Amino acid sequence: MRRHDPPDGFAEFVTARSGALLRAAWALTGDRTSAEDLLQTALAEVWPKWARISAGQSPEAYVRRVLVSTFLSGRRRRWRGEVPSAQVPETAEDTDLAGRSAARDAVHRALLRLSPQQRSVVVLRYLEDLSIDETARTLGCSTATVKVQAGRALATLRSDPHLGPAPIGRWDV
Amino acid sequence: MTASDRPAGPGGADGDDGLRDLLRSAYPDLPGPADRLERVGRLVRRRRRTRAAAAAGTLLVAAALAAVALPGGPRGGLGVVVQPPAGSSAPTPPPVPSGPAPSAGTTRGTVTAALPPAASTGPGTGPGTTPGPAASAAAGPPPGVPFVPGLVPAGSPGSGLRRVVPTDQQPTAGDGTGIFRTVCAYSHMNTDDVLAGPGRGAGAVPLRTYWGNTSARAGETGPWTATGRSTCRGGTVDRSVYWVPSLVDTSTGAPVAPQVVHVYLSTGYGGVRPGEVRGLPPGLRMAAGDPGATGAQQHAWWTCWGGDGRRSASPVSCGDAPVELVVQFPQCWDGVRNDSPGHRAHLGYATGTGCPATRPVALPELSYHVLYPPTGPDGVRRWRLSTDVPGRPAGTSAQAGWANGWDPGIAAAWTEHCLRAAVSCGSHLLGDGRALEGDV
Repeated sequence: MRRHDPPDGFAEFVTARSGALLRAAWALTGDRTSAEDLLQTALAEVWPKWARISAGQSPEAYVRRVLVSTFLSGRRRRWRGEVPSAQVPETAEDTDLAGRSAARDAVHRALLRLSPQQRSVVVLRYLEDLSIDETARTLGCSTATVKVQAGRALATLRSDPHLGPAPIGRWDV
Repeated sequence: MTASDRPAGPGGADGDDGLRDLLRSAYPDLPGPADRLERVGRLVRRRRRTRAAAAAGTLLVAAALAAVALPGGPRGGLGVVVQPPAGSSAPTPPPVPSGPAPSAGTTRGTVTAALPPAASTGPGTGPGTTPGPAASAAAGPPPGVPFVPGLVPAGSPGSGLRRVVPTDQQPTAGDGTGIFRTVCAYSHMNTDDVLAGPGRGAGAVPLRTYWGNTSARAGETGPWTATGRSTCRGGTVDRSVYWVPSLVDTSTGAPVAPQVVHVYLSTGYGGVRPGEVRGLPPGLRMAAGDPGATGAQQHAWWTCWGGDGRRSASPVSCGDAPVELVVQFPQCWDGVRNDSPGHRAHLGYATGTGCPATRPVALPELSYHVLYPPTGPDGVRRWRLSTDVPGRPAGTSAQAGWANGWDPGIAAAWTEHCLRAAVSCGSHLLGDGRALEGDV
């Protein structure tokens, strides 16, 4: 293997799992360009350690943890400043007419009204469908913190004027 | 009206699954760039190189890296610009001006010279970008907080097309409220009172920030539906004039352009039933907010985009989220006048049980959500609205103005199918199988 080739199994992982990871990154950052940046940053972080990571129980969980911690650490800010026009939620969608549904738009906006921590909890718990334990491990916090953050996030989402009644139900954590 | 005192919906009663479904449909699978792996590889090599440079002198590493022709940067594809993460590279230099400032002007007051212009939000040329205050006819400095005319950021040129497209997207059922939203790019700034009437108003007011109609300046007095490009979704279907007093960074005298503006039109609040609103009258002009306020205002406030909705009388730092100025217009009209002295007396706010007898005609409720770039606490402390009065808290003079420039047919569509029907049309849908298209 040449020095700059990806490590064994890495290319396959990227092909198989990038879609799901990118979706999470999109929900976290609120726009697709930043999402791709975030994903690439996380993948670059794990690349050098891939042999050890892929030998572990769940490489994807590891990468997801890197993704979320990169997002929360604000390391994405640097390249955000490089994007010529400032990105806000739905502006990145303009090439996708199918994606322009009002409902989606409302969800994007509602999520962006949450704090980064609360948004991370919602994304992991409800988009990635992790358990409370897994969410806590991914975020490196206690399960109590996950419950509290999720509770607050759901309260905010429930009161969001732009979400229709459909999602506003009894969201227990 | 904060999010928290708006009524919660009746409830979907489908618990967690409702949210799961909603999120999955909102974030479908995305195609990634085909060369993602290569980009990641380049990023890895860059990091190695940066680390090697930091540990300067390790000949082995240097030799290995010398073999690597470093690309100029992984630009392209989605337009992504990837930077090494903080801590592993030198700080990114601030953006440098790529051309001459939009208008020549003299440096006034104690402002430091030779500062780069604030980052612009648009391509920087076009019919909507010209107006520095230097272009106005008034002699002497304009009123308000001093600013450097040469630092007025260039804005979006807007669109001269009518951008309405068919769609199969449907509005989502409401919770007793209706909303239609449009999104606009910053257009330009000037010190003109555009509502003053023919031949008047040039250089008469503290600096204002406009979006929507790109030709809003003294001498252009409407009807606003007839002329100008538009920086809002739908292009020329919305030639409305939208303005707020400009935000100025007092350390440099640089006016701060909004990243983007969300304009909401909603119904179902203040005791006004959605079905009783009429369309916004053609030619209507109005203003909201109290420039003479000494503290928090009821219908204008600062908050964080993406925050918890907490209101503040002054701009607040929101970390890496945009700083948001919200201004709500009155929605109860006297049914007669399209304008009044001060642009306020012909309208009033709903009382909680509907419109008052003196302003009996319920209209859609217009509100602005102006998003300024994420800025740290020190930066925000230097911000003032151009109308702010020394000695009063920053940002408390918030106000806003509007002149109706909507295409009557398009406005009738969203009024009927979104607002009166009490559904959520998001930011593009007219609710009748058509949608507005835009670049923002």
